[in-house]
Amino acid sequence: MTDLIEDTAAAAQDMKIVTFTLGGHMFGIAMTALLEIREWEEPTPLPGVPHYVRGVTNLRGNVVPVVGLAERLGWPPSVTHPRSCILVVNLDGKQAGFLVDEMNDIVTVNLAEIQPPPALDGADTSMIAGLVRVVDRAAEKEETGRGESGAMVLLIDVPALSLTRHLDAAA
Amino acid sequence: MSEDRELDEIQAIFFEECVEGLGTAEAGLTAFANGDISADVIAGVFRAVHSIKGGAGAFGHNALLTFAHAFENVLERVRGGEIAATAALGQQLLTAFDTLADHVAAAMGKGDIPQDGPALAGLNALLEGGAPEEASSAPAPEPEPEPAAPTAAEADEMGFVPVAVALEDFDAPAPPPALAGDAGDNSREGDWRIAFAPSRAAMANGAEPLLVIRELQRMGARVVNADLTKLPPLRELEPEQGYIRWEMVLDGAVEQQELDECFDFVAPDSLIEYARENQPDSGPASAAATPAADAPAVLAPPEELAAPKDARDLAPPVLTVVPPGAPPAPPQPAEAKAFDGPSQTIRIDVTRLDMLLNLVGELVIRNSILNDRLSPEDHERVELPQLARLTREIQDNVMSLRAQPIRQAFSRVPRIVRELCSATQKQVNLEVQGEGTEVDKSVIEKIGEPLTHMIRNAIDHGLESPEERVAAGKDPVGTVRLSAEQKGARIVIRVSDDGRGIDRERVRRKAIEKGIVAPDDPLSDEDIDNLICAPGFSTAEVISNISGRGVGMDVVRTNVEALGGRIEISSTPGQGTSFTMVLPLTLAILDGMIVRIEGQRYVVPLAHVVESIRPDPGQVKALSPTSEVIDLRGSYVPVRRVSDIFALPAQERRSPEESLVIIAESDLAGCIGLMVDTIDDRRELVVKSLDQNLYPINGLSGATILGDGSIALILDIDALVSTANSSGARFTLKGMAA
Repeated sequence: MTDLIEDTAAAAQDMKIVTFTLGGHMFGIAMTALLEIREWEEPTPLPGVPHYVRGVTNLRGNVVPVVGLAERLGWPPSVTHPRSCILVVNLDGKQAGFLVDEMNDIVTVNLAEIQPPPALDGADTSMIAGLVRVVDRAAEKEETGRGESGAMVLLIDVPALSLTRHLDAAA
Repeated sequence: MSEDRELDEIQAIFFEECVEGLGTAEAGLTAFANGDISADVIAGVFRAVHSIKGGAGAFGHNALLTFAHAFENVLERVRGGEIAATAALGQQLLTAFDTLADHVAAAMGKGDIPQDGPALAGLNALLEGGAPEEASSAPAPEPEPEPAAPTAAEADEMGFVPVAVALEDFDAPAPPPALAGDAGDNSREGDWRIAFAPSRAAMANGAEPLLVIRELQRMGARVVNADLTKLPPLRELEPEQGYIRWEMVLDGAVEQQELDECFDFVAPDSLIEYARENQPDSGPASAAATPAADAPAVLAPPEELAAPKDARDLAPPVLTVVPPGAPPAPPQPAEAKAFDGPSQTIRIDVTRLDMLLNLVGELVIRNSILNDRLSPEDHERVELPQLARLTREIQDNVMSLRAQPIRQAFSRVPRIVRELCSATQKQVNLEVQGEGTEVDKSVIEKIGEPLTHMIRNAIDHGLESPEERVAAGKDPVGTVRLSAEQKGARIVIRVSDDGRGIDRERVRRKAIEKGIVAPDDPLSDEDIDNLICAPGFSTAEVISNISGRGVGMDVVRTNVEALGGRIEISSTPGQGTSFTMVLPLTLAILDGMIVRIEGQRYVVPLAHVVESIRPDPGQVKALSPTSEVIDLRGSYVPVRRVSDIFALPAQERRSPEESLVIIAESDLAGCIGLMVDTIDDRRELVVKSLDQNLYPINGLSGATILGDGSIALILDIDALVSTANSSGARFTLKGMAA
């Protein structure tokens, strides 16, 4: 609520991100892209799709693909557990669900604080839009020692996640 | 602003009607050209052209108006028996019709205004009494029409551009030059005096007096008096009441019938009176056509609200014309319907239908969820089956709202054939079958382009020239057959010709040349035929402007596949080629058998299921470690395990005796046995496409949501059968197209 009262000029510079963990790393995604967060539910597997597409699930009458985000980003596949959840994201008009390990927080970051990912040899960072340091409120309470320094969040480049058809020949 | 938009909307409706009208007219003229010269047919064509003309005038499409007018005049004479209705005339009218269609397209902004000089001249030649035989050569050599031809000149030289007209503009328009020129010929006729006062009912029905007056003005009428005495003060003015009575003077050269037409669409209880000043000897022209011709026509008494019955009785005389010597008059109700106020159809935005369809889909799903959750006692109750039946009926009805006869897509074909015939100097007889087959609207919209390409291909590449045909001992007139039929849940559209067939050696050479296949690729005849659909492939030695740019058939295949269909080619050298599009009938609902494989549920479309078998020991035989066949009453059918096709992680290989084999038949590629663990259920399912949120997946035609909310994948039997029966060649090709 207080955000609404904030100076509009400052608000224009801000962006809300939803943070979550994936294999021990903290990631963030722009809240504007997020449609909803659902409990993990084993999707119906699909044949002939890339390994990171775990299947399709029923989202209120829509058939929506579910992607293992860890695999998609090149990390080892997530092991699902009771706190696993699916982020349903709008990808250029299409919906897709992404499996993440645990939801974390909603934080506001200033656009100016977002750094582009440094170019690294051989590393595919095409799906990372930037890096930003946020104060993790949950972590703050537990271990006050880290306090101001906060944690580094990898911001996901949502459009880069879009699922495009692979040539049959390649499949 | 809003008026503009309203006008645009009205114009959009007019264009829709134009397209429909063109379809009707073309169908009629085709029947005409084929010798079906009945009054019904001619009247139908006349009505269609007439309403196109009416709208064209109202929206200021002058070129279209002029042409439609000339066309209508000819039809009018044909209807009246003044021009002999022969098949040759039908042919000529068909040619003129093509120009009319071009005009409509131009008015819709889809093309340039065609050069209609020769066609107009041809029509005018007919009007002047030229025999159709003479005139049939008209389209090319005839000169531009002379102003002497009354109808053409009248509209041609007017150059009238309708704009919003203030009432003052009605005073003193310059007499049109054409009429001035004609005046000498018709000096015997007295000028018309016209009185016109639209009634309240006419205004309420949407009649627009301005349009009528414009039309009259276009014919040269001058408003001599507008009687405003009944006009109340502004405060008491009811916008829908007609207060004004116009009096007009019109040159006597105009035939009464043209006047009748102006008032066709005005409700009959309006005051419409016209009479000639100084009534001369009965005009020769006006006597011929209409029964009420020589009397001054008082169509309806003023201040008398006509009951619907009267409306029919008093319908303008143009409706009751019986061509002398023609077969009995068409049934009255059908005739009256065309002009009888509000029509029996309403136009609905397709997106609304789609929304309805989605909602019904959800209803069906909820219904089956409910069924799954209720106890057996509940199932006994009568309400549940009733609810299920109602739901199904709603579903069927909604589906049928979207079903349209495929005629709509086929209607453009005759014209394409005619144009190609004249461009290629080939003679083609087009045979059309099954045009009444109903298909979902979305399918109809999308097959137009593929169909055009297939027809072009058949005529340009398939058929030989008449000389070649004679040399090959064939009829010089080639045949192209276009057919549609429903097979289960699929519609099969076939374009076949009796031409030379595919020259496989040449196709292969060309494909190697273009790097589409490697020189040492082993290719079956079928593979070679399918190469025609490969991107960038064209065998035409000389690139013609009809086909041969190499974009044709792969566009066809891409479009057809986007619809969830396939294209199949078969060819016999020397005897012809046939292209078959197999398309889903609807994209929405399916009768399916739910099977279980490795714990997952899949749907086999019931339309493909022939039978299911619990194999006896030894009935399924392994040909190799990964392929099996089932002995089906003496014939061997390949058996596929769905888990193998999709490379599912299988726990352990079930023995065939513990499984069920579903014999599924593909329309095109024969039978296959699918080995599944169990059959769960059989029910109607709402098809959800995978490409809405993902992309199409080979071997699946979609997904559906089951009663418990989980998803089952729908197997694409055709794709499975073709992978089972042939090598991977087809899939490699598919990959190239993607």
